[in-house]
Formats: sequence, structure tokens, C-alpha cells
Amino acid sequence: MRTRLLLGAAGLVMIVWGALLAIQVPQIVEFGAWFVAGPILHDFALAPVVGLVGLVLKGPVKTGAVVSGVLVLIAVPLVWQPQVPVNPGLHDRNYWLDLAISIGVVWLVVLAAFLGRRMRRRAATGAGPE
Amino acid sequence: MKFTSTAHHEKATSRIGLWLGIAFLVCFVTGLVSHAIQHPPSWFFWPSRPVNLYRVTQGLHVVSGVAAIPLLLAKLWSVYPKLFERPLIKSLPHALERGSILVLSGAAFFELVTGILNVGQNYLWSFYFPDAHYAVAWVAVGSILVHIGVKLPIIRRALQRDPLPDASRRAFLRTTWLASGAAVVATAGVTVPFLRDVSVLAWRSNKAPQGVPVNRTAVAAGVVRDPSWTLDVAGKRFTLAELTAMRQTTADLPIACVEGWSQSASWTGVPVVDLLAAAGAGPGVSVKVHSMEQNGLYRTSVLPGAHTRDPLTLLALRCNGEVLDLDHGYPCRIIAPNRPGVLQTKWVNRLEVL
Repeated sequence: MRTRLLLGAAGLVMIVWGALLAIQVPQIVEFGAWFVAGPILHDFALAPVVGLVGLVLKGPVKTGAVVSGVLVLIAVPLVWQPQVPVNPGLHDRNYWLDLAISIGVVWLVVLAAFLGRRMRRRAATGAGPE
Repeated sequence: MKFTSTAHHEKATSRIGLWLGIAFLVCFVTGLVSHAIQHPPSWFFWPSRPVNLYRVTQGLHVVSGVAAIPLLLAKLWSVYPKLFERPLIKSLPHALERGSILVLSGAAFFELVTGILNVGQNYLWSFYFPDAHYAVAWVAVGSILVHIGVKLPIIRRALQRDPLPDASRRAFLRTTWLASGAAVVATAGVTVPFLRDVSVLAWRSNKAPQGVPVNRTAVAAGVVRDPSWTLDVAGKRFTLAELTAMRQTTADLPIACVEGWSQSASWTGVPVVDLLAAAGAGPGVSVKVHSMEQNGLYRTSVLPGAHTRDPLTLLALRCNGEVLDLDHGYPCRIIAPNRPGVLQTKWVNRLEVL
């Protein structure tokens, strides 16, 4: 119980300290909107969609879809650049192509996993090629 | 609504939570280090060696942040059924607990989303990113500690070794680790040299002058070549010809950006310790570096004594064997070991002894 109370007390102090720093940010409304947007978008948009898709996918295809989705998410700031400054050597690659390549690699691995599974199953049932 | 998947079992939640907690802890500690280097409190000391230390801490900051994105999503999916628990509020402690989880989720998303947008320099907001990211970091880690305090008995129970782990739960965990690993491999090449050609979603490329990315161009800074340029060191003036005639040192030092990318290069120039001696100032003094850049948050920087004493702290005139590119700070820039790139001031025209 002592550990739990200590963790809680330390955590509360840090939260209060963070909040004191946060209220000094001049654009407080916009800042607050960014803070609550994550849970709202996740809980009521992203998670239900992912959950429903998850119901129909199985095995390596499901894993491939999850990994592809994560790659798309981390690529968003790179492929969609409405007002990014021009800086030589930074965010100046062809990210649509790069994203396509990375997702292509993911699905090649999925295909390999799928074939590997089938071969193992065949070997197990003795129905493999002679 | 009924959630039957084993992904929602506390054994899955706790295992992902453990790794998510570690990722956030790494982000927090390395973030505090970076913050302290840029806004040093009086008690703070940051050494000039090893030369790559900041490159490692800030690389870890960004890589563990990227790794945390899939971990956070998996963690929230694992506990998603709790969102639909009824009654919504059972008691005051229950209300506080739910509220604290909203704070935790908001802070965690804020840090990861603003972080990944910031490394892409994709500023979709008008607030100042470092202040906001720093403030919310305290809220995020504080609410993680509160959350661990609340859930500790469950965490202890759930993390015990499971002699007969459920196959579908293991598949969920395996997918989570794979997604996190894929995110890391796809981006870590921004700083890890052997992943440079592997990380297709790295925000840096190899298309930079003299092989080093530029975070602020001369055009953006409003700086042009000035033939009448001279350098003022503690009141003594040096021309470019005089600097070139002084003893030159060549050193391999990285530009290690707060945005996680890094690039080592071979820099040639005059050690700051020599310049200070020539101007009659002793080694180990703090020096304020001024840039020709008129505006901009980073037009000056302060080199602490540990760095002005280090013979590898250079006023660089050349990069990778060529005269410094205008975008890299021609006629000269500061390049010091173990410092954030943003403090490696370019287009230097004055070294002021503090």
C-alpha cells in the first residue's frame, strides 16, 4: 500500500506541475483542443473501425493489416505537408513511393508466413508433395 | 456490447502497459536532458564528451516515441471494453479513476501526435511546440504513475509467469511487438547509420549539401555572403583570411538534431580555445555565440565552460573537405561535441565572453 500511495502522490505532483506549465501556453483553447482530440478521435472513430475490421480478418492477414495501418499513421506527417518548410535533406523524399514500398514488404512477409503455414500443415497431415 | 477477444485480458494489458511505460519513461528522461541542455538550471552540468552522447539520448527519445505509437494503440484496444462499463460512475473514487485515465490518454496522444508531427516539421498548430510538449510530458508521466499506483495489485497478478499462455493472446502480443518493431525499423534510420537505407519513412534524406541536412536555410534566415564580414572575439577582430591562417583542427562530429536525426561529418576549423587565447580570454569561460541572422529563436547560443575548454569545439570553416556551404553557415559556424544541433550556431560573427 505504501508503494501505491507514493506512486500516486508523486504522480499527482507531476500532473499539477505540468498543468501549471501548460496554462502558461498563450493559445490555451487550441492547446486544450489538441489535448482532448486524441481520446475522442481514438475512442469514437479509430477504435470502432479497427475493431470491426478485426472481426473479419484472421492470422497473418490480420497482423499485416495492423502493421500496414501503423506505417500509414506514422507516414501521415510526411506525405501530407500543407505548410512544411523547404529544407535540403529533410522531409524531401518521395514518401508516397516509400510508403508503398514499406507496405509491399509487409505483405510479402504476410504471403511468406501464409505459405509457410500451409506447408507446415501439409507436412503435418502427410499430404505434402512426394 | 460484448468483447470476447483474449486481447482484452489483463495479462495482455499489463504486458503492453509495461513496455509502453518503459517507452514513455525513456522519452521523459531523455526529454528532460534535452530540455536542461537548452535551458540549463544553475545546478546542471552537461559534459562535452562522449561526442555522440546527445546523439544517442535524443535518438532514443524519438525512436522510443515512435515505438510507443503502436504500443499505445494496442494498450487502449486491450482496455477498450472498459469504456462501455455501466454504470458510468459508481462512486467518487471510481469517477476520479476514470477522469485520471482521460488525462492519461489525452496526454499520451498529445505527446506522440505532436512529437511525430514535429519531427516532420509539420506544424498544424499555432502554439510553441517545445513548451507544450514539455508541459504535457509532466502530465503524461504523472498520470502514468497514478495509474500504476491504482492498478498495482492487478499488474502484479497479471505479470506473473504464465505456464500455459493462451495462443490467441500471444498472437495479439506478437502482432503488437511486430507493429512496434516495424515502426522503429521504418524510421530509426534518421539517426542509426546502418538503417539509413532501410528506413523508408525516415524524415531525413541524403539529398543535402555536403551530406548534412539543413534545418534552416540561408534564405529562410535572411543571410547572404558578406565580403566585409569579420569575426569579433571578445572585442578583437579577425578576418576570414586570418582565421584560415590559424592552426586548423579537423574532427568528426555529429549534427544531432532535437528532431531525432543526426549526421556525422568531418569539420575543419579553428578551435574556440585557440581563438579565445588569441583574444586574451582564458579557456573554460562561457561564451555567447552571435549569428548574422537577424531574427529567429536560435540566433544566439551559449557555449558553457566545459565546451569552450574542449579542443574539439571548433569554429568550423570547412565541412567534409569543402568550404562551408552557405546553408551550413558560411563563413563559419560553431560545431561542438555532444550538443543539440540547434545550438550549433551558423553564420557566426561574434563570440562574446560572458
